[in-house]
Amino acid sequence: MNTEPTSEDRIFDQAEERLKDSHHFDEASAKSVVDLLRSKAAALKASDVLSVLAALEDGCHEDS
Amino acid sequence: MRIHELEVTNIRGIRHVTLQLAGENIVVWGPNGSGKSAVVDAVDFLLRGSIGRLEGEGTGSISTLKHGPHVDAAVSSAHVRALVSLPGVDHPFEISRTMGDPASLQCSDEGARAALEPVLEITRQGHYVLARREILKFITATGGNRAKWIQSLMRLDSLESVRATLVSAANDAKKQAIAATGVVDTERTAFTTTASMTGWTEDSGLAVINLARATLGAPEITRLEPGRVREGVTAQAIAKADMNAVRLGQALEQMRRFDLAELRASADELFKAAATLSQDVEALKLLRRHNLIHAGLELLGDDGKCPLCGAEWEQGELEARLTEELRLSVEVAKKREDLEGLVSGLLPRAAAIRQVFSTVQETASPLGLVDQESLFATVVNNLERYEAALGTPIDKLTPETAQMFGLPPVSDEGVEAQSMILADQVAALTPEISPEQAAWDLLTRLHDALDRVRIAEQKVRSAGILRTRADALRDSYGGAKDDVLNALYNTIKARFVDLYSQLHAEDGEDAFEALLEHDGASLDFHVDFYRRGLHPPHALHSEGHQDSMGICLYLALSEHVNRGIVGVLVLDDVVMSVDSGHRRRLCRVLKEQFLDTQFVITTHDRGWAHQLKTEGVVAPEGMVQFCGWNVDTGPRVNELDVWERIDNGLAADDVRGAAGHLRGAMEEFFANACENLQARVIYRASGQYTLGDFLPAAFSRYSELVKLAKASATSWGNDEAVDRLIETHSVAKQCYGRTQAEQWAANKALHYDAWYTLEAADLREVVDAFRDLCEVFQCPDCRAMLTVSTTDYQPDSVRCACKRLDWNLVKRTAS
Repeated sequence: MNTEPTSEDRIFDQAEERLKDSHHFDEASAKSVVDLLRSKAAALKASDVLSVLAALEDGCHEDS
Repeated sequence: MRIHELEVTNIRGIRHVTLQLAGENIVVWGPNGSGKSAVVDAVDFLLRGSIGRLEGEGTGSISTLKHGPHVDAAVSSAHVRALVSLPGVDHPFEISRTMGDPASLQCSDEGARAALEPVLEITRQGHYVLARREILKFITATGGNRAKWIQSLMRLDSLESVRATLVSAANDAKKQAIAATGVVDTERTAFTTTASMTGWTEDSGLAVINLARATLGAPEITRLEPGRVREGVTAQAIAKADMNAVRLGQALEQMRRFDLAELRASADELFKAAATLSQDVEALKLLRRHNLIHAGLELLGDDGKCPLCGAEWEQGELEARLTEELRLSVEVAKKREDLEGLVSGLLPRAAAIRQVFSTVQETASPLGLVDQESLFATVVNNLERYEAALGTPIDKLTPETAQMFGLPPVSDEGVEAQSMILADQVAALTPEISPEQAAWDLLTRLHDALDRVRIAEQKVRSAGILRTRADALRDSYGGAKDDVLNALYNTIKARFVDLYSQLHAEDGEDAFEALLEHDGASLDFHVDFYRRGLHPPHALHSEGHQDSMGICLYLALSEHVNRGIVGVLVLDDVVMSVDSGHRRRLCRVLKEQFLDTQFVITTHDRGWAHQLKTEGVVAPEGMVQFCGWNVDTGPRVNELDVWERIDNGLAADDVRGAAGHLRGAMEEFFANACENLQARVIYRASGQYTLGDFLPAAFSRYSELVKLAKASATSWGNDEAVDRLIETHSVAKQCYGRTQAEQWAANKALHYDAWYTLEAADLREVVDAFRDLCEVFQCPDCRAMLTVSTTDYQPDSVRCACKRLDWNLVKRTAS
């Protein structure tokens, strides 16, 4: 049976890496945001996203 | 997964049918309306709980539950049962589903359910069934629909939904950032009004505060921070009632300084322009399109395609049209710009007036000036609504909202009269207060105003961070999605090109290329047309080629979607427009490249059904004929091999029936043999060929190929192969001779037509001879027919599908 990661998994993994590289997110923040996308997927709402982004520690954006 | 047995009861046109698949490929063939597609529907219902072709777009009031059961059967009596096997489950087990409870799949082995779940998860997408109508979806769909459909079957549709949500979140964050900036402007205006400043600067604010601090003997401060405004200042005792009178007096003084006439003139100008525009429905429509057209022009790529829907346009045509539309909307866009200019000029002035009126209202009440407090509360309320109305986007104006653009009464007689009354009251109430007390009061109010400014500024910073993060998230996810999907589509495209090239290499499409590219919400699909460039697949290629492309794209996608988990693919009458030669090559692709896949194939085409058998895709026992359908009984199933049918005919002394079966089967068999061996058949313009045309040509070509193979084996010094070929040819000649032995019985040209005149015992000899001769043309292992393969149009070998039989035709060249 094929156990390779799905395309969806690859997209989420790559998005997480890109977030870290953007310097607007630290490692933990990038992970928590992408975890939200993974868990909610099609049920995701803009308000969910903004709540999680607003609740992040401010520190990770300062070096941008 | 493999299906070993399938029992269908009261589904669509089937009353009751049990098919023995034994985990192998099967072809269900029969005329139109014989119930073949009901087998497909039954498999679909079993695995998904619904029938794909009865659901979704265009099916209207048709549904699985209403139209899935046989027309005369109760819903509860319609069911499907299958015996299946799965890797990791050591024995086959039964699964079944009934229309009475379509959501529930019964499983005879609960321990196998966990292994079954990944299969069902994939089959829910329905991409194990390909019917002709689905081929069209691959080929003729717009880029947007193709993307939606393919992403849906690859279970990637949630990706687009996530992307759209992230775009929406980024837009909301942008709006919040803009709104937060507006609040800062308002709070700064309030500060400047309190400080009697003409405009906001940090230095001016500091100067006012330091002046008041100096009055109180406090040192200057250098940073405008709320905590420092009253730092080191001794509090001044001041009665609140007295202070209210002082502040009321100051507010009334500020009111007198307002140029209300000028404000009224600007508001009137805005009101008139807004009222006029709100009546012009066409202009507003044009205005709403203006932004879209503008964005469209910016996004227009070199390919000239519509960036919104992906529709194809001639090079430059869409750009010219959009530019013209933009030109038509320039005038109305200018009107909007003028209106927005008036709004942005009015808003801060209205806010400043409201601030002062608010002070009047707040201070009048504790002084017992109830009538005036009530009047100014109304004015403040009106001004708040006015400011909110000015925030209405211009292109959303209606005659009702335009009415709100009229300035509420802020300088009418009532206000003026009450202001005068207030002024008299203030003169009577205002106590003598010292400069120190006034300075303390000012510092207190500036402290509060500055606190609100700083809070608003902090909110702007937070909103800015939120916006930056939302943008980064949108871009990171969008970029990752584009990268991964394009890599995925490249893999699928490469496989599609590989499969299609195998089917069409001999048509001069050996250098076939294609493009399958993700572009925003669209999926572009272009194919090469004989090295004349890339075009949409239905632009230049024939219908047969389009069908080939659809099948190849489906197979390429299946490999990705099914990921070796489902293992069953259903091809429902998919080769209608594909000719015999290309069907033969498709057989080879199915047999050689999809070894782990069990195909359930339906067709109305007897030739294709038998081609699947002679090419070794389907074993003789996998041939199921549906015939004699009627609404009461459903189809009659004939699973017998042709030889069994002939044997049964002879046993029943039905010579005519047996002769007919033999004649039909042999014409088809040797027609295929002629094609596979590239035999020369005398051309007939009528297209009416008989066994007398095919059999001698096929055998002559067979003998010729044996001779070529012998010559090749001799040149390589392969004596063993030479001996084997001599023996093979000897057996073949003997079999062929036996098939011709009864020629004395009839006119030579017509003797195959005269089999029915023979006695059963004589026909038995003919049958046995033909059965043995057919064996000569087939591999004893894979049952596939011998086929010539070529290099540069020259025969280089004769092989069966499994290559147990493999005659080299190429002689060794002298070194």
